[in-house]
Amino acid sequence: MILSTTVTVTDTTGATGSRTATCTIGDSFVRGETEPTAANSGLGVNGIAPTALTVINGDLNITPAYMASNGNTLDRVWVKGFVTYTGTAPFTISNSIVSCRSFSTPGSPPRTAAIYARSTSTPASAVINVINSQIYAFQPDVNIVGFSGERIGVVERNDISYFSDLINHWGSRPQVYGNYLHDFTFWDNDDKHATDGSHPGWSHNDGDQTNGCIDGEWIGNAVHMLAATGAGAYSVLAASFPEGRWGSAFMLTGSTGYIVNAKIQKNWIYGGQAPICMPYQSSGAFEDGGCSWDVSGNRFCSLPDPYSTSQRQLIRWGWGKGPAPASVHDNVFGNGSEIPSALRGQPLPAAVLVGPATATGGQYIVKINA
Amino acid sequence: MGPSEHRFQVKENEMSAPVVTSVLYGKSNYQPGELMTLTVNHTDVDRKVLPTVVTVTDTTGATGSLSGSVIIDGAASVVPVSTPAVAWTLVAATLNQSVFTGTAP
Repeated sequence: MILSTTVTVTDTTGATGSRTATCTIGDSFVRGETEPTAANSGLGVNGIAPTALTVINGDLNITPAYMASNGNTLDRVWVKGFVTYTGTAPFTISNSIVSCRSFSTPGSPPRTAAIYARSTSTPASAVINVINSQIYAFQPDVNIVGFSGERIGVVERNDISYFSDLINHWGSRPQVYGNYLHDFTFWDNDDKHATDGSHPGWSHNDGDQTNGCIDGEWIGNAVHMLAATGAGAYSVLAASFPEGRWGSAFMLTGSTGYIVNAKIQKNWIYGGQAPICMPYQSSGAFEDGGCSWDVSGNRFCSLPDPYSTSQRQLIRWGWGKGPAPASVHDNVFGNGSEIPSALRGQPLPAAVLVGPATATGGQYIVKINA
Repeated sequence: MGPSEHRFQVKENEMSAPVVTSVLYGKSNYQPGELMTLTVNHTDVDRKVLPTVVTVTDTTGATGSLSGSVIIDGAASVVPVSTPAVAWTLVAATLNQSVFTGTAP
């Protein structure tokens, strides 16, 4: 809301002068136009102090019985534990903190996600929405992600950090808007990737990963794919990947379902190694969704780590697997000092086909040498 | 020289209007219910402070004096009107500046 004030000064003769000035009341954030930051996401959206929150000590299980007693919303709470949602109707957490809790055995956290909504037994319409909240791990761990599950609903204007993956969608419809995603935790003891060829045991980190979805939308998020310096094995990573540039801001792999009608628009992307990764040949059986994509208006605000001495891959996907090349358009480099001056504000080049144009062959890659 | 060439410039009996030089909020964005500040800076070319000293001399030649000042063409009123409405309260004022506070709607 705009507040307009006109001040009129009248002198002793009755003559007058006046001037008008405006300011904003409440939120001036515009999705996709205002970059999410620590100040304008999470509790910053409404200027709420953590001390104003009601503390819930321990894990919170949002079950049908809990909702029958407590309703469908939680506002201004600080959950010092993990949240598990198994409701049968939509539930919304807003203006809150979820900070997980400590545990005794590293690698064996009590829950695998700060907000866990993986339940195929609930109706598809029953989801947990999380808005204007701060989500982080009090004790980060290789096996804790921020969000995980099949029943994640709207995730909007949150400040999410200190997780291996910040968001993991398991088949639900991603609706990820205006979040500040930053400081993922890198690990060199990830059993899930113990047999990797190039870096055995290194965690695969993503801002948001989905393994199959319909009508997914990732719009107006700021995704900083720079590992947290104060957790995990940052120094191991940074020795080879300066600043901890690693992983993908958006990782869409159709490993358990098709990906149809995906929109990745107007995000701000920093670092990483392959910032936008879409379905490719080896990522699962369901990549060829024949879908309608739009990957546009994204700003690459710092360069990803190079694959060779200078080749930087910004967007990539498999031939015949992800979007048609024309659906990847109007993406640009940012204007900040982290981008080489010759590239600032410039459009990304068109994708090039690397390898054969066959279902098992090549990849489209938007890349530069810098 | 003729008389007209010796004539002093006589100020016309027209006073200048005040000018609001700036209206400044304490910050560019407030949350509803938050206390706002509004600083108004204003001038008037005719505005001045006229110092006055009254000296009384008695029949012995002893004197006593009293000094004061009067504002010429000062600001009779400074009134902010906001949309949406805000009840502004004047909390400080000088010759050329008025400061108000109000609650963000």
